Amino acid sequence: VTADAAHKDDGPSPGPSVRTWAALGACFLASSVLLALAEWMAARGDARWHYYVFWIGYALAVGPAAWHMLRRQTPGAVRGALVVALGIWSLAPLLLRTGNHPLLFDEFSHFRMLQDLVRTGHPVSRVGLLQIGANFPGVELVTSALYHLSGLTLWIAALVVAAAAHVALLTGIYVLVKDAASSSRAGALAALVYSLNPSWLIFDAQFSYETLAIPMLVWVLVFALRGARQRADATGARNRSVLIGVAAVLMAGLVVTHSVTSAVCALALTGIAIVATLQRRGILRSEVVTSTSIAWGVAAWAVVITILRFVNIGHPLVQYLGPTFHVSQQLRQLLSLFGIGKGLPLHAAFASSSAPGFEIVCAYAMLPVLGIAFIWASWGLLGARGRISPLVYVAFVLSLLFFVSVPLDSAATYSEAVHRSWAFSFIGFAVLLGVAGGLALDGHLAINVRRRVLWPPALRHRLPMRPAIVACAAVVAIGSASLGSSTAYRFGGKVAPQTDPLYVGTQTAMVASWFARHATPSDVVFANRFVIRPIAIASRGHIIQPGGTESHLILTISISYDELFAYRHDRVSYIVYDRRTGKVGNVRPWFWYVSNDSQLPRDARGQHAFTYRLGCLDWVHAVFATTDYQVLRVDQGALERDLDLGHTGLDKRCQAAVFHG
Amino acid sequence: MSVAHDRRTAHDALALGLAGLALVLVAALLAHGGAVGTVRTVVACLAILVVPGWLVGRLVDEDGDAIARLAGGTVATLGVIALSGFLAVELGVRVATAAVAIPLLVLVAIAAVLGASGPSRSGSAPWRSSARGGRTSRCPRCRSSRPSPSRPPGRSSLPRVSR
Repeated sequence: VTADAAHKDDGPSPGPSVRTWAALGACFLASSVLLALAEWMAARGDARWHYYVFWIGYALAVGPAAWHMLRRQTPGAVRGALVVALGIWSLAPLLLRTGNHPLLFDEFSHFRMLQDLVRTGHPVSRVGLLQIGANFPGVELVTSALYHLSGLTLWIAALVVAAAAHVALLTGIYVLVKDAASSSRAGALAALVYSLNPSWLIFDAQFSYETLAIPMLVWVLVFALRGARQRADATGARNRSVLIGVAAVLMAGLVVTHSVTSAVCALALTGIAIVATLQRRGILRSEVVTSTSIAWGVAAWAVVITILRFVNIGHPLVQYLGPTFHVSQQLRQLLSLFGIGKGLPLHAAFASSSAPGFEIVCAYAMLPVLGIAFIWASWGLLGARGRISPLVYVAFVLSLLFFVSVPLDSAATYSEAVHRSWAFSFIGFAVLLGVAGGLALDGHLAINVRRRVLWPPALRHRLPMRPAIVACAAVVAIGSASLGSSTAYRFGGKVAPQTDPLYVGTQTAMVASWFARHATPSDVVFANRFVIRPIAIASRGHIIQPGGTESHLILTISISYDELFAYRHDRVSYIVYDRRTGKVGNVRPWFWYVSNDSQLPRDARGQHAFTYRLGCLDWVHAVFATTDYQVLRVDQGALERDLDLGHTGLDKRCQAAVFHG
Repeated sequence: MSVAHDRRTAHDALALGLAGLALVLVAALLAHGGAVGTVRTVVACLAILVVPGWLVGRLVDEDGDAIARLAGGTVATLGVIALSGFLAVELGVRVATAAVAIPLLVLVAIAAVLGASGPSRSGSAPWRSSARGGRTSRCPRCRSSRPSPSRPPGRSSLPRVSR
């Protein structure tokens, strides 16, 4: 019997006392104070102590909550409440980091989409920052709904939606595994495992597609699996219809919210249907009976609407996802690890990182720890395969993808996509470790090799094993936060060019506020990828993609007419350039989507930046300047005249210093 | 009503009460526009994040777990809002208050009608009356437990969730 059932048989549990609740509340409060202190220390430029303060604060909240969640005598309702409390608390690190405005890279794009949606009543596709955004406006639609009804400011409405979704995600994992393992203790363990995910505590953005899409995915699985559970009575049939209806509607909502998540959800549902069929036909030994017709019906619905949406969007989606899902390049990178062929340009995980040594050690130690946990859970569940839900098989595949993705993390092109994929992989880990851990905690997991019993461990090994497991969890928590996100996403600091998100500061605020006052909706702005974001949300003008042909004017040795035609074709009205371009860091990272040399003209592949050239052109003139930035107004009439006459418009005094043709 | 059920209900009520209090406090802190703005914010948060979610959650919940019910219902509501907003865009309707409020009202009405016409949720979980038990036969060091009685056909031998 599980602990829950055993406990119930022993009589009603009193649950935590008022004193325990008070102590838990104090822990959460003290933890939040320490997190705030860590952020304050980091912003003041304190060397490294803020890392230690942060992790002490983390342990102060997660440790007692985890202990109560996993105790045998804790009632299920209390476990659920603690999962919610953990979800609410885990909002603190990013909220403390960002404050009351968008700060992280993707937040600016989504926030601009939200602004346009509220302004026009329709998703606007031609913003220039996120080309695919208007095709997946789910999170913006929901936020605009709250904005319209509540009267909150746009950003606060966005935070409220993000907070609700964040808490619902952890609760969804808890319910998913609670259903699959029939134990609230297993569900609580799964929620804890998922909370170790690098994308959970500190993601690339608080407000982005995945904010809403991943909770939707988890709850689609919850509803679909509940609907497919075999039942005979009339109440069951009615419940099933409602569950399937909700799963279908939610899946349709997911399809308009995020591309990759809806594809993952459709594949997961298909996987569940396949496993359910194999179980039903006796190919996989199982006592769990899942309705195959319902499983296939929900999976077919998910696959069909996902494909229809993708086909409907068409080329822009291929362009957007193409570089990330370049299978031949990914295969090339994997083969290069075995010495076959040449790999892609590498990305150093901690080069010039200010992360302390213990975090870097944990980041590397996390991989074997997760590997051992994966093998232990898979092996343990192999013995209990007759009683496990089809979901566990899908979770196995998702977890396995984590290990496949790790080598790709070393390729510069894929590191960001790999980190983002861990939000899905950790659903796999949560289910696998939650179900196996739940069984193990209740003494129902056995691992035998011939006659030798590997699990449960001998009594003399059990006592030292507990601190070892806690240490492993700490290693994964610290390592994943360290590996999955840059230190600048976690802690503030001095303004640093070319560093996400430390570029936002007084200077960018000055430029953005100038645009807020002077730019009109018909204006078109070209700037590098850093400063363009604050400008995008402060003004209503259009934005030129920072890595477009316009950037070649600064990057190429000779000026080509294509570059000038691009300025005329896109009706660029303002150019903003950073005086530090070419002086600080490499040149190309200043401009988005120019990471691959093949996308650039041949004479733009060096580390040159010809920003001074902008001061020599007769079709631009300076209108605003700060220490680091200069804003130039483009005279489209003068540009057109120059092009008609076959001139670049470059001043004669500059021609000696600049090649052109 | 059993003591365990009373206690569970008390836990649920406490958790939801605290969540509701937190929501009101947060809304009061975030809202602008004085008392009217605060009331509007609280009502809107209830209208989007709580009430439809709770009503939908009642329909799809099998455990009587209040927190799971609310969270699942809220995500389902957000999905409906996203979908109806998208359909509005496709139909050329401007996404504003009406495009949000009408689907929400329809959702609440459907959920309320289905909830009122259907059987009582409490006790609907099929395993409530089912036998519990079962242990892994290959586990010599497992804690002792009572042997598995006969299972209802088509159900896992794992016992269902209790609270």
